[in-house]
Amino acid sequence: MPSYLVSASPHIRSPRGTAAIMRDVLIALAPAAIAGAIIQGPLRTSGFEAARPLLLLVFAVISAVAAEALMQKAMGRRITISDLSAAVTGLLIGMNLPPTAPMWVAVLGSVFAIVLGKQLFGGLGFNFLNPALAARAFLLASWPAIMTNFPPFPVSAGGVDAFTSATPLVLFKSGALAGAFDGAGEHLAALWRLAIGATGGCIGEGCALLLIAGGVYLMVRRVIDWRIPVTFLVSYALFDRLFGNTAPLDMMMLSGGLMLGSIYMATDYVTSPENPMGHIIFGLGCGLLTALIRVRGGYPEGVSFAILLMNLCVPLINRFSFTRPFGGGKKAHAK
Amino acid sequence: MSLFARRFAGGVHPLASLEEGKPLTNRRPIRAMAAPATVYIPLSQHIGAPCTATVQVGERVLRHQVIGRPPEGALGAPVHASVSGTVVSIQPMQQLSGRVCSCVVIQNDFLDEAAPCDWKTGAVEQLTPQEIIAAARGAGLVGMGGASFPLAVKLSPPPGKQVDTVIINGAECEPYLTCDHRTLVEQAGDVVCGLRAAMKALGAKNGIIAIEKNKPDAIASLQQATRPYGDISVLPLRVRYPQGAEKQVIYAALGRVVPMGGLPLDVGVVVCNTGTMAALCAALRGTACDERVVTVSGTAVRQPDNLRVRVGTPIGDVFAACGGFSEEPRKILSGGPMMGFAQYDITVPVVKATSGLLAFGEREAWLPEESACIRCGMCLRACPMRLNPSSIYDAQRTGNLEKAKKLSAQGCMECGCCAYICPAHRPLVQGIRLAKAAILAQNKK
Repeated sequence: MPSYLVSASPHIRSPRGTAAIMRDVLIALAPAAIAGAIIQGPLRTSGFEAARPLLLLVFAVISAVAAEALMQKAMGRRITISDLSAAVTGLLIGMNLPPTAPMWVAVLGSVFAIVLGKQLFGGLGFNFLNPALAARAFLLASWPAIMTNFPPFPVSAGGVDAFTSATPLVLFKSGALAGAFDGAGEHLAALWRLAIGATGGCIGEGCALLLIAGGVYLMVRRVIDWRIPVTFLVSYALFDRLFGNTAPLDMMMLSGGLMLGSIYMATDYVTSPENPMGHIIFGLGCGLLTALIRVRGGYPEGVSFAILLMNLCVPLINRFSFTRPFGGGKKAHAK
Repeated sequence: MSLFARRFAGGVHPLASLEEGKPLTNRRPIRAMAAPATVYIPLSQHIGAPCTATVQVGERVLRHQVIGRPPEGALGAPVHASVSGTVVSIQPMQQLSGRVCSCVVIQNDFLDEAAPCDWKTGAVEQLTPQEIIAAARGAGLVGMGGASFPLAVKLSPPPGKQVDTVIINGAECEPYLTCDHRTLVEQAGDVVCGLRAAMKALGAKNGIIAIEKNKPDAIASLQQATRPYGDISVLPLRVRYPQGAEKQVIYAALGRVVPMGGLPLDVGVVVCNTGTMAALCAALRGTACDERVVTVSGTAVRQPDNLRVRVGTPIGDVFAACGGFSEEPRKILSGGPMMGFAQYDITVPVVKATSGLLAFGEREAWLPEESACIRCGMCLRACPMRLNPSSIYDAQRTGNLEKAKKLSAQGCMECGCCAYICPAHRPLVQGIRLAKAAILAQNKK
């Protein structure tokens, strides 16, 4: 008698596994990463320095994947690099590095993220901090000079050279740009530079337009939900004004890691809440903390720390957010 | 009555790229399968107490003759012989549902001599509600969508429960299945007749025939067939699984929410399966429920088809009537792929509630390996009951029944959306079923 496979229903599965989702995230990030490598590379400088941003991205990805494989082998676990989650972490680390960073920073960041940030907690699904952000915080605290070495950007756009030195956020914070964009033409030209990322900054955080386009792709593909990015950005805008920031809001929104953070880092499944209500609370908190650090804190940029702090609040948020079952019944709390 | 369908929360769209697997059979007219040489008729084809056999081994029986009756006063429905012939044995047998129950085995004499029917027949207008209910009871009608609830009981709500609307569930949201679709297209008049009988029996003012939009020919034929009746409307539904779940179809049609743990009756609605309504119409003409339309499909079937099959036919014979297998099947299912039962044997018989028989080849039967939960929340968003499947599953795995209860595990209807959508391929609904069973066992103690 032939033997038939017997299992409990359902007998079909969505073809979309973890790897397919991670592949979508890589596809969404790729345009902004490539644009960043070009803008911060050949468009900004020449020689070996022009290739450095691209190499940093490649090194970060390769070392993240290698670290995951080696760590899993050392711990006697199944090697799961084909789920592409390590590649996503590596790419995000690369995108969060200044274009001048030495290669070992990319390697060290990726190894830290995978080994300490992820595998030691049990691997994918069990880490409570976003591994890429944990690595960024580690690098920033350990090598602040390297991590904030943003070279001047010599390209002049629309005759505005306001952003040629340091990053826009540093300039806004210091008040050096007060009144610089009073003219509508200057304002628009500066805004455009921020939108395409032709300013000083990390490799992958600059090109806001492509980051937003990637975010739309992820929402259309239903990889991420609109709630976290939208509440993050709206809450940031509100609190930025509430805390009395006088720099132009549209420029604040396009500067720094806000787009990269709100669309790609805050929406990390593992380290964000599970249900829609939790997403809104999480987004609100991220926006509030980002504004607090940027406007009132000592650092010019606060996206990473805001998300990391909110990562820590996720178990609490899951506890207090719920969905109401169809037809009443008890509230269905998350974890 | 003008209607628009509301969208229920959650759900999934399985096999979307293959048009839900329906093109394999949705244009194939229903074909009567020849009765087999031997039928094995289970004495329990309904929710409730199993029937006791009313025939003896060696006795000659006629087609439509009652061969088993439920115990007096118990919930159940009689079963009838689906062929004329000789009872050769009464023996316990494995069922499609996985349970074992007593079966009456009849050697077919191929005369198809029919027994006279013992209930009053006639057109809907000529019968009283009691006579319609008697016909449903006499013909042994049960919900043919899978739940197998005795129709006569459904048509006699307890006093105090007023039913204003009867919905015919023609959603047929399970992939592959097309038996209801073909019934709607080919027997629209019978379905409408059954609906009118059910409405009369229940004293309901409105009838709604709800059909997913992927069956435009069925919608058209029902619109034609319902034209003379102002109190019956056809409602096209969005294509989304589980659109045909009772509570979801009620919400789509009327915007009424059945309370958790409640019944459609609590919101004045009765939902009936398409095939059941066609069978009720046949019952009013004097035919007992001894055959049904079965969709035979899947890549391992040589010629997928919609067959009218006698109850008690071994499923192996049904596959043989479709040209047999084109490749060695890896998985045999009764029902649809989302909620159906996997079979390990093809000698088990077709029952009144068998909507589909699927044979999956290697590729269709393949199930991906489970990996770690990435907490994406997709199961939460897919759950049409808005539960938290992953948390209930975790509670079950850690033996925390109290938590599973708190998370309303009992509200799960086991549609399988969570396990279908999970990118980590975790057996979520399977675990929730275990939790439900454990909670039930605990409550009984």
